[in-house]
Amino acid sequence: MRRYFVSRVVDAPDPEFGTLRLPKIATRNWPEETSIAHVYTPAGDWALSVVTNPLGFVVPGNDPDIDPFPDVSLDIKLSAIQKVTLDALKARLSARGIDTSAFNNLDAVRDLIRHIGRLQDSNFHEDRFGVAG
Amino acid sequence: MGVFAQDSFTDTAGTDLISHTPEAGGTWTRHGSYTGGRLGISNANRMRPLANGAADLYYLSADPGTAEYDIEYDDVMLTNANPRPGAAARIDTGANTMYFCRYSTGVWELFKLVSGTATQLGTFNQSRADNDVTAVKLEIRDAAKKVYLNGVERISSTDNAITAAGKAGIREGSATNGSDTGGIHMDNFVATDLAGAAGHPAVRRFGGFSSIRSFAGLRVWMTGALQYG
Repeated sequence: MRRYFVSRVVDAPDPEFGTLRLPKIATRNWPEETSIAHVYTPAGDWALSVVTNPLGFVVPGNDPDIDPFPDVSLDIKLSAIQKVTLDALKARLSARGIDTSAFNNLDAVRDLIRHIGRLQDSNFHEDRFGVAG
Repeated sequence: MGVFAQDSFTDTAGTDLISHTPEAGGTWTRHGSYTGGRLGISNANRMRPLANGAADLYYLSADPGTAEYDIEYDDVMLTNANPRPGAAARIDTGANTMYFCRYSTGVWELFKLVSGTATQLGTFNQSRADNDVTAVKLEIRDAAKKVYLNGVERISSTDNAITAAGKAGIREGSATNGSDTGGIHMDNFVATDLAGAAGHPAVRRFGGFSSIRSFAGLRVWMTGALQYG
């Protein structure tokens, strides 16, 4: 199982660094075998993360700092996703300061993830981000 | 691929790595941003932080042939406690800048450190029992930085903010004194770059014939190597 999230970057305690800037999703108590990858800058406000756990996990809900993406394959067309779902996601990402003006020109979920990832890192590619689920 | 650094950490217990000669890779140097800590040899011929209560970063003098290389080692967790050393790659010898991995409490982590500012690139949750030995590979490519545990890819990041080859080394970030009986030790450190002719995977993993004595599967390994020769 593999899910994408955008979450707020927050201060978190760290035994070495004292305070570490981490995506909020990283501060959750994830179960064994969970693999997470992030793309963000410590001075920034938000991060894109992918969470993988072949054993499954409970998606955190009702946290205003964490925006889950629809649980669909990367190759699903955006046009195949309910408009109300996409509009809600756009609204939450916009509120986080992410420019969503280009979203209407994107084809598939893969393009959406790539677009958001490259807002943080020009080297980003969804196929090398995180591990297979 | 070619081995450019290798250390089985065989030496007198308590020897500082600076005074220790690895099988390959030149000499160990303490990084200028980590002047308080010391890394050395345990009483079981492994690497462990010595009792200096400060963070450590040592690197080998050998230059990798390319900026894309692997660092492999055995992560020997005697007890689930600090200090917790791990591999560091693309180390900038003039700044606190590198990629590194480590096992913290219940979590394997991959970090980018740029001028002392840390970015957590990825994690993998895993509980380990005392005396667990995990084979770790930190794979550094421009396209992706990956951590493999016992041969399985567990962390992958596309970050490439640090592009210079830098140096390969060992980093330990806590200020906890090391001991022969606790924390995490390191063994069988091998760094392999992408320069040169391809070799047999077992030769890449174990660093060539100089490490024969430390490898139990000698017969299989040598057969494979001869096939490639």
